[in-house]
Amino acid sequence: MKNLILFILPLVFIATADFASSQNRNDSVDTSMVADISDIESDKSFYIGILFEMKPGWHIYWKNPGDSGMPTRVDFILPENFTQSDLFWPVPRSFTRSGNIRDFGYKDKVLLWKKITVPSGHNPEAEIPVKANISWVSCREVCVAGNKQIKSVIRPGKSPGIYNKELFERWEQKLPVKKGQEYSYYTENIPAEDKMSKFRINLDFKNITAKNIEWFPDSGETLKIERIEYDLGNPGDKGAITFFASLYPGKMLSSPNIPTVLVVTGPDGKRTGYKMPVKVIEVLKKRKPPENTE
Amino acid sequence: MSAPLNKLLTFIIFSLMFTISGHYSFAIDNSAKAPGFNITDHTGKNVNLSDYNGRIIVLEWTNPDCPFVQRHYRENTMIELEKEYSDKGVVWLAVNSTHYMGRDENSKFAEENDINYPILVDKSGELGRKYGAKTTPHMFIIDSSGEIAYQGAIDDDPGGSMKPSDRKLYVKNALNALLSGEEVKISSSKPYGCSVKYKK
Repeated sequence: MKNLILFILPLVFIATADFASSQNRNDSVDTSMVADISDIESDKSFYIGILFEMKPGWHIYWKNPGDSGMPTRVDFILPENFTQSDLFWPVPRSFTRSGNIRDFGYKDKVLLWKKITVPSGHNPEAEIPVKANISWVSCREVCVAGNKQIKSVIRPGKSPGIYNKELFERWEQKLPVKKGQEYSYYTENIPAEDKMSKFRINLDFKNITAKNIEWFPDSGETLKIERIEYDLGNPGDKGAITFFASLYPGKMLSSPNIPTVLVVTGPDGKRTGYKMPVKVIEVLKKRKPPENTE
Repeated sequence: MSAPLNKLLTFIIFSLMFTISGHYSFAIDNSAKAPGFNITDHTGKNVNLSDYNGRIIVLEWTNPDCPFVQRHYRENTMIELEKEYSDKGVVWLAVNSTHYMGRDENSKFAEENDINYPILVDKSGELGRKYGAKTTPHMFIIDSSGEIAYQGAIDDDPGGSMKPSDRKLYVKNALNALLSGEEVKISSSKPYGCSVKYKK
């Protein structure tokens, strides 16, 4: 009987009690919690996220904000034993300002979400409280900090559930994809009279035509990357990205590769992001840090 | 070509080169000589870097409209550091390269926050671009020999969410090292804050 109840209990009602306790007034961004939940079953997953809607001209930041700003932060608090994936970050955009300041982030709308896995032995009739702590900085000509807490309760029941399958599927299409045969690349260290190391990522577009390229290193606070330049060379088939890099003093990278995203704009204007790990660490480790240079 | 025309052309070419290169402010290298300046502060007084030869100088890029700066001034971060280290001979200068803020706005900021140190009015952004200042705040420390000893964030807590005792205090640690004649171990860090609002 219990198994039957579990089987026919697909619909979940979410009572969204939106307690917005903003410490800073930020009218430039609206935030809402959204979910794609068909049912709550042990060892199964559902998606929960925050939809950010920016007023015209405003943007918020990617996990590496670039030269300024601050990463947008979404923390979900769930009952014990519910596991969460890392936050999913759709392909960002670049915002360049006077003074050669380049930021990475989002304008108009972005969904940041996680996959939540229900623990084994979860009581399907139990309510699930969910809390989201959100913080961001939005900028246009000026910048404004925002933070919000949204509380919600997932209540199993016979009422229609909250389905946002289409929304989540649409945003899943905007995630960086694993590179296939679209292009090949290799990274080389280039001699430069500079205290930072210079690198070039050589791109060979085999099966796609690139009208434009953009590069987003997820280097965080460990690696200093600057003077990023792009070269598309012969129309569409080859390209290069050059940049300078150095390790910030006292920082270590846990992996020899830095995660980056290469965004290729095709002739139709569509932007596709490819996950592109770039190996620079061995070169940087061998390089004397600037402060020890005689 | 006549000599005067030659000179004029040379002048034009060098001016253009300066204009083009000046638009791109790349970070200044550590251990480089700190670029000199001669600029007016919020009280109308002229401030020249050479006035402070032989002293340790902190340059703090600021913008009263920036939420990161606002938080630090609510928490008295810069005010307390300046008080502590000016007693030890360190010079603290704030710089505002915001293109839409002049002397009046900076004076108001100084008055509202009990700022006793000069705020250099860099509306044109020339000083900011010379140093490669990207954020507010963005900190530079010049050692007593006139070289850049530290540049970057004031601490490692952009969100202001850490316990103060857990923060890495980059500027404080660098000043302590310089005053003790020791090596500045962390001589640079990623600055955080709003972008400097340079003139377009």
